[in-house]
Amino acid sequence: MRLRNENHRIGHLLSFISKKNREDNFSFFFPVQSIEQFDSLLELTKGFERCLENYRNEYEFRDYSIADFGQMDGIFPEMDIERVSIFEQEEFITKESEFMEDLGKVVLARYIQGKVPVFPGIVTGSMAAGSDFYDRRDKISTIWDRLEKGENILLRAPRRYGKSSLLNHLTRYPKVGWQVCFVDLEGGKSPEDFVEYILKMGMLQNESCTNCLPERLFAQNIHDMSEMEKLDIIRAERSKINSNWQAYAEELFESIEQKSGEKRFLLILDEISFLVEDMLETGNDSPDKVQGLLKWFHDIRNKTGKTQFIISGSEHLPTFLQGFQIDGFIDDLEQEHLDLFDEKTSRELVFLMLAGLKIVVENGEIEQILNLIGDPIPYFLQLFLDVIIRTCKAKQRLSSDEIEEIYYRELLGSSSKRHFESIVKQLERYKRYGDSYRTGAERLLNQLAIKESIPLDTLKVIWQEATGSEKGFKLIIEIMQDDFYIKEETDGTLFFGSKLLRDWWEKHRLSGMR
Amino acid sequence: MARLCDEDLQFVCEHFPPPFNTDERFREYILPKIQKHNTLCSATMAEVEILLSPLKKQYHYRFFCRIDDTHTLKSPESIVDKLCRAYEEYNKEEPLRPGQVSVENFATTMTDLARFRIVCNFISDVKLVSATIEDHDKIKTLFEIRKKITIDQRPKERKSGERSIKFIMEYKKSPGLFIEIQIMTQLAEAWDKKDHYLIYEKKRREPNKDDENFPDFLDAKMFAMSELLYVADNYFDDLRKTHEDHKSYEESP
Repeated sequence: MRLRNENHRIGHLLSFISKKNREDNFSFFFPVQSIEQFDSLLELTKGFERCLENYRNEYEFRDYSIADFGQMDGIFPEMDIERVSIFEQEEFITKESEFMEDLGKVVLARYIQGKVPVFPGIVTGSMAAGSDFYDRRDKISTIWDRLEKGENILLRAPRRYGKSSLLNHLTRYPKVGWQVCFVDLEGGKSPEDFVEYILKMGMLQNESCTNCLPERLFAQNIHDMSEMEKLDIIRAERSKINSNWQAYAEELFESIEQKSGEKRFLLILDEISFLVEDMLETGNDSPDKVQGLLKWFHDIRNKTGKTQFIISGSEHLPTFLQGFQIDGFIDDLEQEHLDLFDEKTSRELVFLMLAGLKIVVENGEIEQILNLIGDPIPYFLQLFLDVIIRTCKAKQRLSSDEIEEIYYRELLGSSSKRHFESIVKQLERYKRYGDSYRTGAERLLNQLAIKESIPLDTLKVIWQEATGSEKGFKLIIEIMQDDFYIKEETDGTLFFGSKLLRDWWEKHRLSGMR
Repeated sequence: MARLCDEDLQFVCEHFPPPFNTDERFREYILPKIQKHNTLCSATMAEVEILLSPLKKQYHYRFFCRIDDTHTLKSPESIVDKLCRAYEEYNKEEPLRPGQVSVENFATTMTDLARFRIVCNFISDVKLVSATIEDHDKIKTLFEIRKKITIDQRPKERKSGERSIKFIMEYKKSPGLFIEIQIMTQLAEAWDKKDHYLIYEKKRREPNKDDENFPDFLDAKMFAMSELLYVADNYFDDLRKTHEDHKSYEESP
């Protein structure tokens, strides 16, 4: 792995020119060092031409010999010099001189789709939006298909799998005929908060939704107000919500139904698990309150016609509710699971992220990166790439040994500790289920970090030893699948799905205890 | 995009295999066949740049030479035109002989499908570059080289005003794959660019109509200009030599 050499001036230019409008064109420049590169250059040229096969009616392919990269203005009259990217042959050609068609296709598609920027960036810890949001086309299409059929959806996935990014994408790029409102429920602790967040974080935040507000709010032109004026409005509405949250919400949903016009209205409620968990912490009657809210919300879903919902939460939400003997009234929701990127997509993503930062990476090195971290959980993958990129930029070049060293020394080292602390803090949350839950969970993780996989029954024994009873074992296992990526094999054994988290746990938590 | 003249279009319709025997699609027949010529051109340019690099360093204080990449690939229209002219000369009664250029084999018989130029400052630089390429072991190993010199050609042997050293190089690993390197002075290149626009295209299309096409003796004048620039190139080389001799005398202890 090394920084791309962008100083070599002689090379080969591959141009892709729109047949409809020749002004729409883009080119890839491949520096050529010597005659020895002839065969690979030919393979590369033919390979990219093959990649264009799907777009043959829209784009034409031409290649040019270039003596001076700095003097390419006259190559063809309409050439868009701003859309020329430099690559090196090694980025698309294996050591066995074979063209990597999957990577060629993915780069070409991003140019043709007009992604700006072309390459996804590293967005560790924040939502991946726009061009940074990668792939998930199939899932997006499935979700819209279900919504079009009138279904409401419960989207489930473990933490950091990219649920919020996906929902944000649905909000930003709604299907024609739909209006979308996104609400993050994290921080809410009551039914009143549930309603207030829909108003404050959703309807008022999103200018395109204000037309659906009840007339008394819509007439005030809230978007033209100063922040102070807005706060006054929110304060006033909060007191109305607090006096009767159900009546307030029903007025709001009625207004949405009536005023959304020809369009259908999609309300996305993200992080419902957090809301429910936090509600449960607030008092003795909280399971009843949770059930009350969820029952009421279920009835609302039955009543609405044009308004539809995506509710997003952790994988363990149904089990979690059962654990507290709460009927969540979520059976009407169609379940969608967000899985990890498959091997091919992960490979493409690693390649694109590095290519965008002018780093030449070989096929074997991509495999090494993916093998080191195990399951390609987007957050961890980006974390690793971030450290790799910084080191490569400083050193110009990285060997395989150095990549491995970065993994063990940097990513699992003390400098990256802060990135894992929030995950470990999840353990503290377990106390809310019972005082011994934290200790029990930690004991399970310790064992899972040491052994490749452990039968469920063995883990149950460990849990019993730590907590004094079998109670809560099923729940904690489900919760840990979300928080610590514990996975279950078909034979009933469990293991750490994220090799990175397992390595981290072994290095920091276990060694600390030892 | 250039269009075919009527005669060439007729040729395409008659001789190209369907569905490529139309003005819209003949390029699709030609371009894939010459893709590797273009790639070889880029790779050879890179190799030649390595060879020239020590010379450029040696003459760092003045312009020595540059590689010119304009029109490295013969256009599909020119290829059709060349094929058309070749077929005109063939005896229609006889089948094509092996080695004769044809629609089927043009990619391995035409030697100038891909080419690039090395444009030098002085005539002596042209010769130095030429010798460097010719003597280079790697180039000799990889290519079968034919050399064509028109730079110092005797008047009776001259067919046009072009003055250059050409290497027609066949890539040994892939027989029939040719690349042409043209080495010339800046003045010869300047002349060639003008001649291409004023004379060459017309002469190529209608070789026997000079009297009609050039009633003002434009062709003769352009030929004379080439000779004049040859004299200028020689004179410039003498001036360079005098300047360098004088300089080395001044710098001697």
